Amino acid sequence: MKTNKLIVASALFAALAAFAYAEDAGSNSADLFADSMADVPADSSAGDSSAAGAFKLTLSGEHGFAYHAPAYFSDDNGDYSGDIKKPVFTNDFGAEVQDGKVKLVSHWEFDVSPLDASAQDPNGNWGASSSITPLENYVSWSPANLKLSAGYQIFSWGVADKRNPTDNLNPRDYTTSAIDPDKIPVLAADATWYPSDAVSLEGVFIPSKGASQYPLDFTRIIASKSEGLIPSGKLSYADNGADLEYFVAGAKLNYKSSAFDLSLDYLYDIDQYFTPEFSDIALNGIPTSPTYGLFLPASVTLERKRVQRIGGDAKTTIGKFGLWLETAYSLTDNSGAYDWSERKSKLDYTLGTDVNFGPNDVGYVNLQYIGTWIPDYDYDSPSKAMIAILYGANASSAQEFYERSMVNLLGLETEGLLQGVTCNVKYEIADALVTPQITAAFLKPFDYDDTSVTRYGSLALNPEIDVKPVDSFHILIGADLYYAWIKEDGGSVKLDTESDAVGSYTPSNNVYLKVVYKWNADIKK
Amino acid sequence: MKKLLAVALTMSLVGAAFADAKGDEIAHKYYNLKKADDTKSTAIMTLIDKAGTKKVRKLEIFYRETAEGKDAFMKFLEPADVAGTKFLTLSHKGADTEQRLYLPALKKTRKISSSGKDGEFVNSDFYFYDLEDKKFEDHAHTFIAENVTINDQAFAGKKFSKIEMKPVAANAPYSKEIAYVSQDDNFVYKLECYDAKDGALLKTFLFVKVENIKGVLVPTQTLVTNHKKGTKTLLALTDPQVNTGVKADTFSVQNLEQ
Repeated sequence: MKTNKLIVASALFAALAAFAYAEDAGSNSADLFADSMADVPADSSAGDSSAAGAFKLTLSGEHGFAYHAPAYFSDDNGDYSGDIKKPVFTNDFGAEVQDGKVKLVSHWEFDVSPLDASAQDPNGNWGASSSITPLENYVSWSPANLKLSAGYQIFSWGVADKRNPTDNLNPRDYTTSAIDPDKIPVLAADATWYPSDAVSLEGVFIPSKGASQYPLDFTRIIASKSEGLIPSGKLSYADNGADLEYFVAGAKLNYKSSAFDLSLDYLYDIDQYFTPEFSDIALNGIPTSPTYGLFLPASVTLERKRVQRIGGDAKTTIGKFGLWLETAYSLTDNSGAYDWSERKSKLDYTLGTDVNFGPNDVGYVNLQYIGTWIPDYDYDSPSKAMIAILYGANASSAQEFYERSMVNLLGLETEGLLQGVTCNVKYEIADALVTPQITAAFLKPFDYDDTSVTRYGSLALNPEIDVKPVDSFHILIGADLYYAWIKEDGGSVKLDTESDAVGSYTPSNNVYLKVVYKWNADIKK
Repeated sequence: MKKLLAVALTMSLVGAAFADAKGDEIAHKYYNLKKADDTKSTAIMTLIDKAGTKKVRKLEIFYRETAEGKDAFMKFLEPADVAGTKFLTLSHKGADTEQRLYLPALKKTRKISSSGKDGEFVNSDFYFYDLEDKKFEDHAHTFIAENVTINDQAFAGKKFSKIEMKPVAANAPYSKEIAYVSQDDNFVYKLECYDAKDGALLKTFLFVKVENIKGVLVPTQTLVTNHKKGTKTLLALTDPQVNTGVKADTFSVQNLEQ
């Protein structure tokens, strides 16, 4: 019986081996290539392949639709209002012309948002729901060891992931994200010199840097914080148009080696946040009080002040781990502890690591420790002395009150020390057919005015699943979630949806579905 | 009896020594083949998954030989998802190969970790490690057999010497590689790579078509099979050119960031 089993097993093995051999012997790898090349467009096997070769035109496009279902229903937020939640068709068109060492880049965005408030308004117009936005539009020339470019450009300084203290050249669009706002292209001239493979020196000049865009109206914040004493009619933004006053200039020195990369930079910058300037503070009579008056400003102008930034970053790899540090010290014109007219200088830093994991490194995790430290931060609220100051002594103490209560607030500087961690984890499944990922940032404030409120921190969360059934076609399902928790004296823990920089986005919490398709085509001669 | 054992042991050791010497000799012949100063080509990379679904990538590839080793520059042209992605490999004698990836969406250059080289290059069956320049000293060579055939019609009638190549570097993703070296032209036409993690056969490289261009043997059709994943990658050079004087600044961080 044992012998029989052995014979059967041997026969089976022989049959399998014969089958395997027959299959192997019959294979022809050349056929695979013949089939594969048959699927490739004819022009793919032709053309110039030099790096800075002859004329080449590349056209590209990215078309998408995004639907956001509201996910925070308190305070009448169960609607599609706001830049984050409104359904939108987005269309980016790009053209790049390369002719030898000259390159022309032009990208434009055409968006349509049918549920935009203006489009829904019976007295509004359809045109208000659509927009045409110029993105990058520049020309560059790369002669030997140089790269010169001019036009509307997007810069990317720093080595950290998304939270880059040194990356301040472009204004940001905070209407779409608190954590990773889009960069707004800036008119700039840039020159990079590469004296060797290891070293490069970059200089940038921006004739007039525009303002960032915010979902907040800062004039309303002032009107609200002054308890109506400063009506919105007295508030105005300084002219932020094409004014040389807002020029920005910077330089960056890069060193790259097989062991580590290092950069040092300096930027003569303009603060992206506004600083209120209170003019002609004087005693104003109050009808109900014949003996007292309030010291009120004649007008308040929101200015963007000069900031000098000194930054640096370093990156290396240790084993499988990437490791980086990026930091910048932002030096304002603040003259000392008793100067409240300008915000204090501050230090921003990001220390991070990343690693690929799993079979064939299909997983990726990125962790960062981030923070902002403002030495001599004035966290003692002036509101306690508000009445005494306003009714009391003189114009200068009233000015101190206004500045101490509003200058930091408008810079969203509500604490002397902010510590946090960010995390991004993603894992490709089935050859990147499905890629779940989660991005999270938790921020904890320290050194703030805790006399009447305790702040527990804020959390921004973006879980997302990217389904890619075919190349360049993505179905994204995810959520934008923002929370900040506080506890007021005598109260319970609740969400802060007004004053916290992250928590103010809570009304925009949503679950989204996005469909994105990208294409490109090369035309050579 | 003891004497007999001693003689047998000595003979087997001598045999092994001869085998290593022969392995080295065969490997030397491969590494001493005429090398191009530089090569460039457009390439079509076809990724085939387990179900047979194909994804096509189009890229430009540039190589050059320097005193430090082989440098490479690649730029992806299609599809749109990866278009503009650039990859630079710089060899440094006596040090790890430097690899950098430029991601156009982020406008940033990412340095590839020296021990993270079992990462897949743009989801293909090529590891970053596979794209590095390899020198004779990078492996210990052992002769296995000669007059071996490759069971594929593309190699009908050809005879090969089979040698084992054990990577010297601790961070190599393979425990060993079995190379099939042509007895006619000394070129490696097949490479079986065994997983450093479990010793099992991980990948097979088949150099299906090798063209002689200006006296240099250039593999113009390469098939990589990942046996564990059941996937294949085809890399076809569509217009390979040799010694055209590719400029030195092609292989620079400046070119990566342009």
